[in-house]
Amino acid sequence: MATTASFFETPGPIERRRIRLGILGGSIPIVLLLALAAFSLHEQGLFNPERWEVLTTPDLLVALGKGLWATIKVAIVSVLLSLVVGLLLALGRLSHRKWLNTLCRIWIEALRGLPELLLVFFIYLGIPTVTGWSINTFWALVVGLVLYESTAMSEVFRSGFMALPRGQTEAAHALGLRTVKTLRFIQLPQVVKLVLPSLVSEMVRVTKASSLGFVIGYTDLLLTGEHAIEFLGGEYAVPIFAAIALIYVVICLLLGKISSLLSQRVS
Amino acid sequence: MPANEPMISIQGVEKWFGQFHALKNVNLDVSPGEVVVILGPSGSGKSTLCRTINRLESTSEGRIIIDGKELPSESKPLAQLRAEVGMVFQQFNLFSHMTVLENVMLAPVQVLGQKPAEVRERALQLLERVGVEHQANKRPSALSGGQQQRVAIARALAMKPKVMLFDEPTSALDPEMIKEVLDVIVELTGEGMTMVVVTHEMGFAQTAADRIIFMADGEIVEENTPAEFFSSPKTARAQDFLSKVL
Repeated sequence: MATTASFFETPGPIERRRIRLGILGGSIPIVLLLALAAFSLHEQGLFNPERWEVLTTPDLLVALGKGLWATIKVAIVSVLLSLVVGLLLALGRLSHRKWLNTLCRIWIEALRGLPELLLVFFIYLGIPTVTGWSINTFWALVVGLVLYESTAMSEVFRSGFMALPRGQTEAAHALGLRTVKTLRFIQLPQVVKLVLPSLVSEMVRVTKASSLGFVIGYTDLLLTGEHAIEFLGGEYAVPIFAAIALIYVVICLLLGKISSLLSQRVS
Repeated sequence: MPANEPMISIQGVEKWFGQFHALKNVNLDVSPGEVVVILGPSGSGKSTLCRTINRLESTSEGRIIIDGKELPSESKPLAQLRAEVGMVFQQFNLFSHMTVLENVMLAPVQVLGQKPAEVRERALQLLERVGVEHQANKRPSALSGGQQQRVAIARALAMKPKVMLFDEPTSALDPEMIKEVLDVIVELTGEGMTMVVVTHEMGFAQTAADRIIFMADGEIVEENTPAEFFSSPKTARAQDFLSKVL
């Protein structure tokens, strides 16, 4: 199994003393700053339990639950589509057909440089204007996210394919396997295992980026919270946003956990 | 098929890598059951020639005919032809995410569409024949280099090929493992398998080859019987080569 690379040499006694001093000296201002922050929050009544009791309100919990489901829906659909489109783009980039290769490269380079926010806006406002079709906020958000994320994932896949020893593919070809079966039985299983950590961080990114639905009025977790604060009053902003932040962190931790379980099963 | 028709016929093959002329007008016929050993200094084009025979390397000019059929350039017939030509690589190239047994079973099941149960039985017999039957359920990385290369030979044989190509099969092995691999190859020569072997093992060339092809600078410089080649080479370049390796 992989061992953690050691970047630092084992410190000697003098260095150890110096490190202890550094930690002590460095922590004093940090502790002071935290104490100051806590005091000023206390002054504003943030630690008043009533403020936080709002999180036990059934109506709010139901609303946040719906918002969470909306976020999860967008995240799952966007992740799956990004994986598929990303893989296809990566294969296009690795193709020997020059026109396909060039086309995919231009597509990837162009989209990678655009902010996701702009893409989501562009799809939501641009598509009805240009084509006259209406597009709902869910699909506008999904398409905007996939346009960006698929290019990021295609680069992840591509790096995986390039890291695969050429002999693996040659051996498969020499046995008479053609492109699709070589991809399915030889290349993909090894590539996915290789790039799983990077893929997971991209999935985490998609999940977090789904909060961009906020700007086009897709009622996801974040926008639900915003609506609740408008309804309940600004003094509840900190508890509600804190709860939402916690939920995002938990989702992303779960994603990481699932993937490490997956990679254990693969190997 | 008339008995005198060659199993492999290489006719006027040229290969360029950009400006580098890797193969220069190579002509070579290999008869059914013949064992041809290709010798030569590194960079002489012997591996490239071996790899053109199943088109892992395309040719710039010339024709290659295997068992009466010209090597196709379209992917479907090419895959069919490759299924009939076994290849063993210097770096073994076993599929690292599969067990030894899965390595051997993959192509017969996926390419030839044979039943997994039958293939499994035959694969186990082949693994037994090359002496790695106890490693069948291990990953290749758990095996020694010599064992991996013997698995690679079993994997190629599982396709029941008409021809076996060996591209420096022992060059990546520790010295003590070379013999166990060569023994398996020598055993095949006794079964009438048509073989092209690129190697640096002079002892093997001397005993196992029906014919020696000596290459230098992308050309076939000398064709000879092993006895003649090692005792009295005809060309100065072969004499020079032998003086360095023997």
